[in-house]
Amino acid sequence: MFSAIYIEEEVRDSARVQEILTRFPSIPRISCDRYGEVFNRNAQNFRLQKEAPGLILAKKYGNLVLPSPEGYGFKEGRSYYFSHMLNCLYDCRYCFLQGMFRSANYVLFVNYEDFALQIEELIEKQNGPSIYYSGYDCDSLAMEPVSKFSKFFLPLFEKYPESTLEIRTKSMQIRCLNERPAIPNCIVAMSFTSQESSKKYEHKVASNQKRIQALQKLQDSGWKVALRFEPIIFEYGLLGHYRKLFFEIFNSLEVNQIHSVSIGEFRMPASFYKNIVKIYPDEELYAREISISDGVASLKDTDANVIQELEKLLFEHVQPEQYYRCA
Amino acid sequence: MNSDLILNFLIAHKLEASPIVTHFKMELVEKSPYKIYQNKQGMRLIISGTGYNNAVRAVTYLAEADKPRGPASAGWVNTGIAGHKTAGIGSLFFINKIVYKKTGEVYYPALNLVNGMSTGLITVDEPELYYPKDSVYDMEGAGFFKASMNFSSVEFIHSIKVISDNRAHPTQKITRDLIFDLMTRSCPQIQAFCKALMSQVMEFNRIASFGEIDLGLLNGLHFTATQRLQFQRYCQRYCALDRKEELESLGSSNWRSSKDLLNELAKNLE
Repeated sequence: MFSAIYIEEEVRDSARVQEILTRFPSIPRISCDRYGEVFNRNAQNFRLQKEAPGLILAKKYGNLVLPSPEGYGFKEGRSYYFSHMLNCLYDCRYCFLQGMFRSANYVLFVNYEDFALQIEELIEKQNGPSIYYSGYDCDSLAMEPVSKFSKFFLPLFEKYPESTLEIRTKSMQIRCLNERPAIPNCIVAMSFTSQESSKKYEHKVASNQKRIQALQKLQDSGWKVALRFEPIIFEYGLLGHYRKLFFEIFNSLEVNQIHSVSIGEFRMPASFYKNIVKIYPDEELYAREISISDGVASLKDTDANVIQELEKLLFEHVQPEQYYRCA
Repeated sequence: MNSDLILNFLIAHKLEASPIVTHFKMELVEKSPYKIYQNKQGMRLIISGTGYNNAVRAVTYLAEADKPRGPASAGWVNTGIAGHKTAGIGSLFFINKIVYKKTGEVYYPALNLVNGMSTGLITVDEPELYYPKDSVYDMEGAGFFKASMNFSSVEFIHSIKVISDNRAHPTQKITRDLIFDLMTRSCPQIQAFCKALMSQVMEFNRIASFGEIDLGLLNGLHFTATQRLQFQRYCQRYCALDRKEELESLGSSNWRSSKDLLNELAKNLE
């Protein structure tokens, strides 16, 4: 599963690290002082590493929970995000992480208790609801058997019903959720692109059909689910493809029970985009015409009209109150 | 030096290198300042001499000699004998961490291609007789890695060490025959690894040169360094978009200047 496991000396003896190491007795273990020695060094290639990434077990310092970027997510109070992990098990060609990090190794920050402390401090400061997004720098559930992320964080949010946890994922690792009672203030947000986009760009990811089935199971167990249609990447027949996808999804789920639905176009900081072009010069997606505005790169062919047309299609199935457009 | 070189070996001594030279059918191509061997499969070997600084200089020498062949990457492999507290004589280790004892600098070779035992390496300036840590000991690894990182991605830089001495079999017992025998027996495993590494390097270079068009074909147009980069990126984009024929057609037209050509290439992509 991993080419190597790098372990910061400081966390080597922690119970969480020891439990993870027990799962992988035959993978080489390499000690390091700080994860940046492996993760942030110069002269490494994300594309090459993605073929066989290592796992880095580390401790995160400083501000572990940060205010969400402007326009991120739905509007239900102050919003924050936290990343217990960097990088993703999947290999989606459109992903901004390819340009954000030099390394494709996975970093798992194992000091969950420190994250919990900061989350609790923030919750207690709020006069009303607040939202906590997980899955910005990783897929929240994909590594669940190793990370036990939801096993730790769900009981935390269970204590604070006014605060919402959104778990962003494309993963089938939902057993951890279905094995326990649903929590009303936790939303499992599944990302989708059209079947055509998914086949082309989403490597190592379960099919849309399987993701829909996972959402059905979650709804059946009482979990709130959400749908994230992003990134929208222009393709010939796009509206027809999404019409079909919307039909499949909304005929499989209890639409009124869907917490929220969003659409977001393909966009990322221009600096990340440039980094990705260097490692994927042969990728069709990064050969398209782009426009750069305020330091953000987006595709010229996926303009506001395309998004509006998709919204029209979407509103054939969901109420406008359930919808938001990603900024 | 030719443009097909895809793997560089750095080995401290001729005694260690000799079985590798024979196994890979290399021939002496340079005698001074370094002995350099090469074969027709894109492998090259330099004998660096002992120690951190000699390793740095030898890597730099090879890489500088390669500059005329452009940005194509090469794999780098440091192999040779080394010591270990307990590991059996003849054990072969891929190195997963290198510490230079003198300065504390640390390097982490990737294990993405490794199919065998891996362990840490400590590079020392004087032969280590007591092997205090459970690591391999050598005298070149850190210098080799540090210098190679200036010229290649870390995924292409590897150290493979063969144990020649331990507490029960100290350095005084190492003979010329033993070195020859240990390195000869290690050749098949080194060869298997090098095959995978060379394949990865070739694929990497194929991607790096994706969409490359010979500028000489463009009717003698003059390109500035910036225009050259722009042109290469346009070529990549046309190829990635499966529009290579259009690119070739545009390229074969008569252009007054490179600027005109670049403008047309851009306009045509809009």
